[in-house]
Amino acid sequence: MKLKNSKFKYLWRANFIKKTITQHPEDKYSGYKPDAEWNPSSFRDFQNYFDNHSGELMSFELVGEDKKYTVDLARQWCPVIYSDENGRWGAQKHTLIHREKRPLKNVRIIYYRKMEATIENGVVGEPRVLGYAIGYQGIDANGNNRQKVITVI
Amino acid sequence: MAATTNWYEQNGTATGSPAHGTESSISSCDWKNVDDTTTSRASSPVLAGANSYSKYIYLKFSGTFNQISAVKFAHTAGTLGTGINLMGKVTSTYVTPSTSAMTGASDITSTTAVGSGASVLLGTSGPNDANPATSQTTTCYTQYIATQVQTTNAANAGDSGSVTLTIQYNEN
Repeated sequence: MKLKNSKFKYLWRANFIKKTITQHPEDKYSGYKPDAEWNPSSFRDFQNYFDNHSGELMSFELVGEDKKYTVDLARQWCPVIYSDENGRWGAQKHTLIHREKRPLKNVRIIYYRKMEATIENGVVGEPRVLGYAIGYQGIDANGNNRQKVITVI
Repeated sequence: MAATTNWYEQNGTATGSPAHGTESSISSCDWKNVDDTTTSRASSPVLAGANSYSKYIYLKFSGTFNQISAVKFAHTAGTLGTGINLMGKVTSTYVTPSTSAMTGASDITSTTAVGSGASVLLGTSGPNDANPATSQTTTCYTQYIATQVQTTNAANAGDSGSVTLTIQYNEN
């Protein structure tokens, strides 16, 4: 992960059984066209691969300088969210954040950056990242949509 | 890279179908007694007891993103002062700006957390898109955020206080 070359505090990484897809440091899509007014982001590459290999996604991670947040889908019917933190002198801290209690199917990853743009005292400001959100959604046995999203600042 | 956001304002007589004004890219936005993007508020102040011209601004999203969604708008900080109310609405309909009280607007003088603010839809053809949606996966525009300052004779002379208007959205 090339965090030092990125404007993002966290970059995502999707670990499939046979392939790992990593967010480009500048969030570029594999088919990036420099002259286009709009390009999809790296997340489109993840979505495209996931659409054909949904059962092969093992985990989706949000990787920061010293901390990593993981949506663990090793057992896709029972997603788990946890964090790992590098402390001083190589100490590691593993924290379970959430464990899904009901069996789910059609589990999908949720990832977005919560953004804010302001006009302050009449002056237009640059947009800024408020937080990075990751999680999952799926359908339980009763057909209800269940989702869990955590936001990392 | 990420989404590129640019603010725009439309001014002048509503023309076309759907109706629109003349578009200008903006780096500032003031309520004043003239319908343009260039005159300073000091040069064209709103007199106590009168209203400012209504203002139609919006955001355009381009650059690099997969999806923009969950857009919210609110007046999140600051106050304009005694006898000055801030009115606002989110709309896909452009009406020629005037100093008449803006119809359908809510009083947004008090601050609100943006998460509890007004929902804003996104259109691909412009802020007046006939079929705006809660999310878009290509270049898109917010609906118009229409605002107006309405004053009473109790308003103090001189410059008003300053406020912060906030747009919040999700991007991936």
